[in-house]
Amino acid sequence: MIDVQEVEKSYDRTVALAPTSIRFEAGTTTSIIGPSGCGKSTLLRIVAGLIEADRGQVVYDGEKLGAENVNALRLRTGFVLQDGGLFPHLTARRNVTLVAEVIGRGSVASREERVRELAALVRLPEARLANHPRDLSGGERQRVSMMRALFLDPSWVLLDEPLGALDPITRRGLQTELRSIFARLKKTVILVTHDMGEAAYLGDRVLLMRGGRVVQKGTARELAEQPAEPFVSEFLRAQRAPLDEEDAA
Amino acid sequence: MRGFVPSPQPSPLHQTRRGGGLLAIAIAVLLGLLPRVARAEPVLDVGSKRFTESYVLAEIVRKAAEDAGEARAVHHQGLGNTGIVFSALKAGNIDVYAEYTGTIARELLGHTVAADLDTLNRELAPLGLTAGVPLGFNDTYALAVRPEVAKSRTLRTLSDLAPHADLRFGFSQEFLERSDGWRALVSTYRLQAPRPRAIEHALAYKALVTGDIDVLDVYSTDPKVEEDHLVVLEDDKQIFPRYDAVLLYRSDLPTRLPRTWAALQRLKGSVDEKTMTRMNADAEVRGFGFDAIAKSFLQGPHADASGGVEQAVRPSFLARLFGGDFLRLTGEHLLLVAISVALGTFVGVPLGIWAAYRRRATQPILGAVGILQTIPSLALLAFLIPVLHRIGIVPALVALFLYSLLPIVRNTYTGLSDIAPSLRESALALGLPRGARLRLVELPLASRAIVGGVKTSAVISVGTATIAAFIGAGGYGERIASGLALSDNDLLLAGAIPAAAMALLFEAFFGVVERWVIPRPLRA
Repeated sequence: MIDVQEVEKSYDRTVALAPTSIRFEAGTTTSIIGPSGCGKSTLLRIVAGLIEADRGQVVYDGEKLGAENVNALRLRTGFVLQDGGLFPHLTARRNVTLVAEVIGRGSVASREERVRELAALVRLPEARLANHPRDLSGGERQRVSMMRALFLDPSWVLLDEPLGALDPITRRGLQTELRSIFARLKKTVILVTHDMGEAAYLGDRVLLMRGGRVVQKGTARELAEQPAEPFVSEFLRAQRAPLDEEDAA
Repeated sequence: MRGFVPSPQPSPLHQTRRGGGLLAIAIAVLLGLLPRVARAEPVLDVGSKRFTESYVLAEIVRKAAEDAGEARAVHHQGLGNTGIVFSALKAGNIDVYAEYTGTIARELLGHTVAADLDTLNRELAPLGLTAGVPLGFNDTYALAVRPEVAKSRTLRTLSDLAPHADLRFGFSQEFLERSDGWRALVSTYRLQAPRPRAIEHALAYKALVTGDIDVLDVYSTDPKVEEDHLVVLEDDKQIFPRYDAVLLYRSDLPTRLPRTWAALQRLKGSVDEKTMTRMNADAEVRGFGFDAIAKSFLQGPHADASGGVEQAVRPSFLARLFGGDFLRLTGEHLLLVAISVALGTFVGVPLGIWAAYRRRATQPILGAVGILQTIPSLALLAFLIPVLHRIGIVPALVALFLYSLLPIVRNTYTGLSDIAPSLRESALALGLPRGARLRLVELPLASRAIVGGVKTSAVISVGTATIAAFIGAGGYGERIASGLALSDNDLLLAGAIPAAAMALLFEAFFGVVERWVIPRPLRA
């Protein structure tokens, strides 16, 4: 469980995040969605300890995030960026195992075993891991990034637009896989996306934000059927993709 | 600085060892230099400034001293300008050099008028120095013009110059700066010429002959005056003091090396103006070596360096290029560049890291290394000699090291600052400890810029190292400095060409280093 308590953040005089309190329940996946500049990335980065909040606190399973434990908590948190954030000078395999090597987690053999396991989980042929990121496709890179995030078996997984840079077909395929991975691993997952379909498909809960505050949190159905304010319906309408309409027809 | 070199089979342990190894090598090389500094047998160190007459006189002193059989005599050739050679004398790096009374009075002791030897010695005594053994000639400054200019403007004395504000003046840097030089001319003769041009003395004659300048400073024993039929203007208001050539030496010399000293005293009054002019001509015009000139001078008044030949037979250019001292100069030059750039890397990379990660340190660090770069090399050397109490390789290394910092620090800073924010964030979010982030992610990502900085630094350093010769640290600069002093273009080229070749070799060497250090996907 991740508990966000009265967290707020401003840059100069612009409010990036108004005082916000949310609870991310253990074992569930929450999608954060909203228009550009709504504060969803800021919220995720404050939770990840990459940005310091002006006020308020983030509590991980009863442990308050602070300067002294931020690195320990990061080791228990998987993080996936939009472009994967893979290090270009290392092979995909080394990207995946780097942290474990540095902190001396597990033996060489056990790390190899873990790589095999995760490659199977994200359905990436192991041979591909010998490549450098630039020699992988966008989809492959995100799979590697996912392996890296999961390597230390984290309690929490944070994803910032993980599929945002992919073509629609690759994206579709990966959405399906992510959903099955989340379902299988039962981790506390926070996923930032700008795509309502993805948010609804992957998230047990959807958190809609606007102008630095949370507009509504609930299941996709709740958002559609009991909008907290007119903006919710407006946003859902604007987000309906042509494909979804065809599906509906 | 360890581990900025990512190893191909990267384990943190590997990298620490390799970095440590480089440091150990650098220290070993430095220590290896020290025995060169230590001395056992008695040695007389003779200095000279960077012009022909000074070289010739120093060689005569060296040879006379050596013939006394008491001590080994070493000639440290062409030590920059008066400031540098005087610093070297005060610091005890040399024991003696030939100086002029006018220079001692006005430049070294700050008098506005000439003073006799006793007065000078009273003031030199607290410095532990003595001036003595007048050699027998007066080599004063003078101004000279082309004969046709003298004729068309009816110039005979310095006073005649005043109405001709359009004449172009070209003076040696030293003459321009000295209180008894240009400044005295302006105040006494009311010269209103536009700013004179500063020009290397050995090249000034060429500029005069080709008509680029009209008036230049000469020494009265300059053989070129006669050779080019120049008209020397009379110092009618007598602002140039007498410049009697004397030996300026450390006061302990007569007691430390009495027999050598006795031999040097025999030089008193032995060189008249004509002899000096002829010896200068032997070196500059007829191309005899300083050692040959000194040898024939000491053999007696009738001996001649030429042995009856009008012109020395010069060896072919290739023979001069690879001749005699080629290996020694190459070794010295290589050592200067390699050590200074290695030190520059060990200091510059951490400074660059510091500048990149501590916002408050950025401007001070980048500013400081930038300013270092703007200090003229001779000024820096002249400053370093009294601070380090020595001439030679140590101050040269310090100067080259300081100059090597800018490209290395700047490129390290830029390389680290240019890392994509998403990669920086990604390293942070992974939970990599700070040291590991720097060593395994950020430095490898910046490695191309960093190696590029070291490469630039090394190539520049090959050129800058030629100034080391001005403080007796050797290298190809020795040939360039003597070539310049003697107007000997072949000798100049015999120094400049190998330096250029060495710069190219460094360029190629770093091509290999790049392949070794920069991770494959990051290479151009």
